Amino acid sequence: MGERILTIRNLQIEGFADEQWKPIVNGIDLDLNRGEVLGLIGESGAGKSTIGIATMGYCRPGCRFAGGTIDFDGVQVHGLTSDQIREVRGVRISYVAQSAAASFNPAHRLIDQYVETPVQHGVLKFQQAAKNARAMYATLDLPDPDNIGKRFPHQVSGGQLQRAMVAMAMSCEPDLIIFDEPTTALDVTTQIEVLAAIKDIVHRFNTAAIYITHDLAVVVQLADRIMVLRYGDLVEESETHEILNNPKEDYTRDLLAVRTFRKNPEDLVNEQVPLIDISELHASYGGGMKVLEDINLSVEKGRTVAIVGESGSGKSTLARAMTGLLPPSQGTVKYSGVELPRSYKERTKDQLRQMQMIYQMPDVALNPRQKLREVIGRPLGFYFGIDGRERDRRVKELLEMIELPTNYIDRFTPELSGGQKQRVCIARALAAQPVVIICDEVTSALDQLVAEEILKLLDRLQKELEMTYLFITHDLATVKAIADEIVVMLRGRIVESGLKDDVLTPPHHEYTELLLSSVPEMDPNWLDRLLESRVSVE
Amino acid sequence: MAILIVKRFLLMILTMVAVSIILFLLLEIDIESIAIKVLGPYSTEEQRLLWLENNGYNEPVVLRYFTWFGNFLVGDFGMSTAYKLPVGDVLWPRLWNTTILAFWVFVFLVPVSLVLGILSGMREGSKLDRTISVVSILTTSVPEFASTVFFSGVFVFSLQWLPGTSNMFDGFDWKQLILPVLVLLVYDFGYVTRMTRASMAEVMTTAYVRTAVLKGLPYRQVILKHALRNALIAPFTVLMLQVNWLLSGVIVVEFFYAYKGFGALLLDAALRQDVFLIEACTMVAVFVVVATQMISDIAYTYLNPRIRFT
Repeated sequence: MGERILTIRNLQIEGFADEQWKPIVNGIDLDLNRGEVLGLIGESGAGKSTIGIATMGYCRPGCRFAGGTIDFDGVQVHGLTSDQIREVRGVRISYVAQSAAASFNPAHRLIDQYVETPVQHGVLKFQQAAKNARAMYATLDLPDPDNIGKRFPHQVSGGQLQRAMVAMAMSCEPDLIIFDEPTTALDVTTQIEVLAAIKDIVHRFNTAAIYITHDLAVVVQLADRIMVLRYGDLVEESETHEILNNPKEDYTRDLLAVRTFRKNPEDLVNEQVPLIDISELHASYGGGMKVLEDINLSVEKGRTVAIVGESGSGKSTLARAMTGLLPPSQGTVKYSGVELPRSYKERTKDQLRQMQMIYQMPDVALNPRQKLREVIGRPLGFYFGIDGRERDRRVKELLEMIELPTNYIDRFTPELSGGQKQRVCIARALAAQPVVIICDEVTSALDQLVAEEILKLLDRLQKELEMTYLFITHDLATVKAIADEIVVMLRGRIVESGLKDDVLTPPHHEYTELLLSSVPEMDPNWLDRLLESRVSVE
Repeated sequence: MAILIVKRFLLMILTMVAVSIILFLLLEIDIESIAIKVLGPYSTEEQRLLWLENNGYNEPVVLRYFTWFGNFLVGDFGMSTAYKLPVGDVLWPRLWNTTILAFWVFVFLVPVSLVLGILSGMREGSKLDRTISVVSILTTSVPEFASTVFFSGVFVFSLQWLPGTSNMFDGFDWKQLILPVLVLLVYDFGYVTRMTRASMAEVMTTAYVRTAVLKGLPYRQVILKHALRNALIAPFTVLMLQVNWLLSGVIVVEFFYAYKGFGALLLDAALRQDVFLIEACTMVAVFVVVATQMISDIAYTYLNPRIRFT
């Protein structure tokens, strides 16, 4: 271990909410040595990003530094003038943000944004910096490293852009890099390449790093030491293997045990009643590129069919085509043997009622100016003409079903947490008394522990109401938890489908294999082993 | 790029042709009423019939449209009945006057509203922001007919610094231009400021501005290099719309100050039922709209590399 580079003592940060300053970070101590990688892990609201950027002397708008000291290589970061702090930012500490797509300026070319930092700080001349950029792009395995810098951010893929962001953070060879959820927005197969790039760069340059994430399995691949945070407090801090093998706190154990929920295999409905039958379905947006090609799929009543694929594989489009939101260009969708009209506009109210959807972002799917009475009561009125006292009674019943207190009926949706909002979305779908519910990435925007609860709820409702689910997700852990059948999609086509056990046991289709092997495991050596095995195959 | 310009240009022509057809149908189908408007209500039936025959109004409608459109293209708009002059002789000097007015308003409007909007949006909620916001909402809320009276009251009657009319009878006089420019500026800058502020404030919250700050760039550079270019996309469109308004919509101000401009002419032509003048004025106004639109579309592709019109 190298010498000490960062020492934080009793760090306190407050945020302004509801007309008063409330603590976000309550007195955190943190130590980091040169060349060491520290993982900060926790759910949303744990204060991990806030701590990360505080090391750069930066607070988000609406937040303020409330106490404690940050000592970076002998300098008190908080005592610096704005000109002095600029000499630290970008040069000695740099930052890699979660969404590279949003964090690159859309109006400038990649290489110009790379070169900006060293040139501005007078570290390098433009030509030298540009040369370094090309070398760094090559180090990070970006395609065509000599020319990729001439592209605009929107002209490269998500994983490449994230690697370009890592490259940019390295432009002045800083002593410390803050990685703030750098792979969270990526597909699993893309995540690997970025993780490998980060690991390589951190070791090669012996750079200290703080790696912030909510995903324990990701952070154990990189971190020497891990701090578990919750609500701005430190829960536990240990060496990585210690956290994995010998967690001391319940919360840490919960985080480790996440993704262990499994649907009881005995609940599988064996009686095969075909409910939805899709044949030779094709769809495209605006008559242009095909998004779905030759989809054949049948869904049995009472089962959960998981549709898995990465972004752009057409899984959400399949849901849109089925529900008639995007009328398919060819093929048929049959429901209980009856062919459904292509567009939702031509379907009867009853046909619409039987197929409901739940979406990824509960925040956006709920009207913030409505109370739960209206949100959940609307389908009751629309499909069944129920209103007044009877409607209130039904809404309360539904609230009980989703395990929310019945007095929540008078709450506005923004007064709920993310998980509660998603429950309300489920209740709204249930209010229509559907036969099929299409769940489109319903757990992706939620913290893992909350997501697990939602999965359990959906499983319970399925048993009680004999519900059929079409579960669209990119997350194989979710699939393992809840699916009866799995359909794997790639570039608008189905590459493999079948019962869960059949698909998950080898031999797989090669794409299924790639997907499965890309899911991070709670094992510090997983990434190295995987990369080795992939190289040897090549 | 060249393809884009050609396409936009063709679209512009098409729009103008469409408008001209509508205009023709509205004003030139009822030939009886044209004759009355041209010859006056006291003309005899015979005079009208003779006039119609002599001026080719008994030809088929389609043929008449093409003749009319052809004349338009070569700049022959017919005779103004009210001014007893060729329409062109009346129209062009008026349009030029309005252009002078619009130019001076624009010279002040662009820097004032952009600078205020950017200052205001840079630090949302600061004292400066709130001050600028209040002032700009206040000035925009006062309609031109009220501010003309107010400014005349102050500068013409009380202080007696400026002339009360801007008819420029004795040649161009910059003093006469001050009040109309002032009124238009005061009325309009608030709106553009607010639009710029909204756009700037949004850009300031983006992740790429945070990236720029965390790169250790000086604040000036964060603003000038990273925020401004993206923040100016929306105000640019708004400014182009102001050109339309300044060239054909400032009727109240021109009328109040007796300024011989295009807006006042349009009103005059409408009141005096000067058919050919109305037609010419309308076509000019439409041309201004489609031309500014085309400029905005082309400039957009430079401002925002993500947008590529084809």
